[in-house]
Amino acid sequence: MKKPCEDLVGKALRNSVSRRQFLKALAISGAVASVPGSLLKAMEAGAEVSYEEAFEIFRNACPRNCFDTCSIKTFVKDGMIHHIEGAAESTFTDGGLCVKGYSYPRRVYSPDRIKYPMMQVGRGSGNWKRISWDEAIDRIARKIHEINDKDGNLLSLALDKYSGNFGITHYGVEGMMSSLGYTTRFVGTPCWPAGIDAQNYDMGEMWCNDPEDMVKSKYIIVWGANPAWCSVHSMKYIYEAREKGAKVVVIDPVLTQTAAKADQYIQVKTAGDGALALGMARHLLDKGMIDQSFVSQHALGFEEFKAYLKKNVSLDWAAKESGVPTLVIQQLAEEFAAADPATIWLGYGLQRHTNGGATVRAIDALVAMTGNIGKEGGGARYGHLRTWGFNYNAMVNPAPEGAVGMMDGKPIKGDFHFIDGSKAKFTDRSMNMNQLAREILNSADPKLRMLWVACRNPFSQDPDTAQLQKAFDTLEMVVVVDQFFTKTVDQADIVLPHTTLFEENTVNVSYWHYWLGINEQAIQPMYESKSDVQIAAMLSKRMNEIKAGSCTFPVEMDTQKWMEKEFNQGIYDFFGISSWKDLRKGPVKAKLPSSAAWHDFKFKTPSGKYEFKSQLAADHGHKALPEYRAKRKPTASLRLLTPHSKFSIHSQFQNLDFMEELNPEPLVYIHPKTAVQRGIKNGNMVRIFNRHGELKVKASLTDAVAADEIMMYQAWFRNSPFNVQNLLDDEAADMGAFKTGAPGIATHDQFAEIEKA
Amino acid sequence: MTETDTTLTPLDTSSRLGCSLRDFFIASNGDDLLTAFHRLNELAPELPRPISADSLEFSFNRLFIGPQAPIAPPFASVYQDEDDLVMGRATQDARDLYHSLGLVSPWQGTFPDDHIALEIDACLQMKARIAETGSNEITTLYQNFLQEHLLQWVPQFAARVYSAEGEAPQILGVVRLTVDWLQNELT
Repeated sequence: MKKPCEDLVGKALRNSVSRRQFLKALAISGAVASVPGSLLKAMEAGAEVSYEEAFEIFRNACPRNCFDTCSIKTFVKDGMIHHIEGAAESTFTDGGLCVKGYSYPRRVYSPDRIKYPMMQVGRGSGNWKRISWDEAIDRIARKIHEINDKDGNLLSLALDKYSGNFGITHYGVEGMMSSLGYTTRFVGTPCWPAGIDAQNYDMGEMWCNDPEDMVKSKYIIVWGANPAWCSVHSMKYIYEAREKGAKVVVIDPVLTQTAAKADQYIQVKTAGDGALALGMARHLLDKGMIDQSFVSQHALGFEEFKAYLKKNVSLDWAAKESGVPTLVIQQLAEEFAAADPATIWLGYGLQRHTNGGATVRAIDALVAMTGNIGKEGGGARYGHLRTWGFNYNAMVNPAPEGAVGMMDGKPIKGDFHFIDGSKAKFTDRSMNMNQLAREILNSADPKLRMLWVACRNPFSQDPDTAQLQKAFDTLEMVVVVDQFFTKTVDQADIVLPHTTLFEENTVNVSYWHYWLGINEQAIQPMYESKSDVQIAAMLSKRMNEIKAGSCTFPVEMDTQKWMEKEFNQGIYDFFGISSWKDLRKGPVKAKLPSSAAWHDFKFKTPSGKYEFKSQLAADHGHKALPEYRAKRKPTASLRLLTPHSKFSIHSQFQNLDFMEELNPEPLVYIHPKTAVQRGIKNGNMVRIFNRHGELKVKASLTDAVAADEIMMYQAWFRNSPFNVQNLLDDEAADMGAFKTGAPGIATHDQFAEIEKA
Repeated sequence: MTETDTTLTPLDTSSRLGCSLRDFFIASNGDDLLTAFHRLNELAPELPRPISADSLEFSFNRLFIGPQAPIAPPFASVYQDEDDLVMGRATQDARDLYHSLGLVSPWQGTFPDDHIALEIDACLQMKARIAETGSNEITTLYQNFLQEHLLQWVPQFAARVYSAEGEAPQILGVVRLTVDWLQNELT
């Protein structure tokens, strides 16, 4: 039982004067008494014992992989974060944060944080030794030199980094690797690549309307996204549109929180979304509800698409494939086409399939043929990178003189890789991030020896835990940079403590909204934590001490100066500011000529038009038209869905005490019918298994999921072996390689069995 | 942290014990831990026989440091505040106390001021001042610090340590010694 703290010092003297007066009075003997080995120091002579009466306010930005990229105001007193707020200056953040955002102080001050560089004696043993930064960096630098001496190159050193921190300066991790020489990079993205490629085939770029313009929509379909949980700040625009008369429809295999708030919920069979979109398109064709002006003036290949629909798509087929009755398909299509403007929000979940890219192309086509592309309040909303035109200063380091790499001329690609490496003599070696285990195991010439993991937690986020364990067992050294002891840190030789967003300077933008914000250092880094770029500078210093010229990364690092270096005139002009310092007053929004993407109909496709028929897609081995692609064949009797929880982003946040109180344990959601057949009651422990592995978890009965599907939210619970990845495989999505360097991953085309444990 | 016995010799037994407890909890490697443990063992023969520096450190890190979520974080606020966090009210209390004595944590702002080693160090400082000056104010402050602060949280901290399975009995012994020492300091 805890009791509230009393004002200790004040109480001691039963003194009614203020703490400040009292402290002054008692600060009598400044000298440290002669206690051997004393830790406490005398306060500096003349230093007033002063306490700040007011808060110091700092600007921060949530760097997580989330649509909302919130602008945060941080209130600091006596060098400690007192509380945080959403910034009111951003109309998107609108003064509020989500449940995860409000928990940030608890992340900074969690006793669980990794505090020091540490070295594990035997991976997975739990036997850790604390080491100094110098020792940690020395061990790493020596290993890198050893590799280079043995192999004559650094291709056996690999980087696995993705979205754990989207602060722009964190691309310094990639810069660190470049500055060492030519290395192996895990490229691609588990997130959204199939859809990115799809939108590139259709329109030449992934570009979405300003989400704030959804208020202008008359009809909103949220398709495979759950903003009520995963983009809470977007909901107010959806609500406002509805208040003005818009209809809100949610299409999802799961009755999500967003679906519960919609006017209509349509439960689609997982991976049958493309069939539904094509069925709607076919019906509109039959009804003549096509925007002739758009398809004839701004589009290429509509006639061929029409012919495909007529020949291959019937409403009965679409109903069977999607599980949505023909009457509903007709009603939905007609309402969507009749509304002006109408918009579809395409979630990332719907493209994590073997037919995901094809699905996005089919939905894009539906939005295009109804004339909703290029329209305010319309649009096929998926994401954008229009505001990401920074310098990537920390990323652009030349390889050291004499460094050797791949000679196949294939430069690194990635959704957030903005550096052109196409003219280099040597290149890095690309491997597929989505098949990490397979790639490590199959690596040869040279075999991977060393892995650096930053902004990533593969043991929670990558499929097939058993295979990943085998893969890690082949590595000679694993270095993980993180804030908490994840399942990946458990498999590290060396772990390095990383700062939180409040302990470094950087700059942040969103892939959804159009706001820009700086992230200021609000407090000193706790313990011995350092940011990615500071770590890179330390490594560079040691590399060069051991062998001069072996690393080109700067050896000194001031995160504020590096944040400043990210800005350029293009950014200033786009956002209408004259200096990054303007952002201290609050976030700013890009000056958009229109809130609509493609408002000028100048598409970036080879034809300059919206391409219903994409030769580029055909050249890349896909269908030229947005044709239906069959679903993945089941490998077990139930489909297994592992979407995002409200309480976490991937493996972040669920480990905090707030979240544990709200969401204490993992569950599997199962339809009552499915449960009855297997003798499973609500609250029973069940075993879920397939050819890859198994896990045990408590069952929760709900008809929010279909009878042939089970669902578990992916998350990392700090005190639980629970890991959905035990059951997933690394099956690829159909698209992604074009723009991100590797195909996506079919996270939602997974199957399993369930039985009472 | 690696003071020799000679340095501690002029101190009374209680202060020598306090110094060694402080040094044990602030040790950053196995050798320092073992040195502090040996010193404690001389003063408290009831402690289990020493183990290797590595074994001691592995267990110490699981209990107090990480990188796993430490079993018993050695910070007052985790136990005394409503929230199980560092840098809370109790941290501010400890900081106030140090400041009132004209002292400051060398790591203020980057390390919670209410770490057990810093708090024991404050005790030692107050003991030394009381011995030098006989100050009633400091005596009252010290007794309050023990009663209202340290003895509020350290027993809870100790309970977490005792409940840990498979950890070094040497460390459990040192924690027990710490609680005893604090209780003995109460007059």
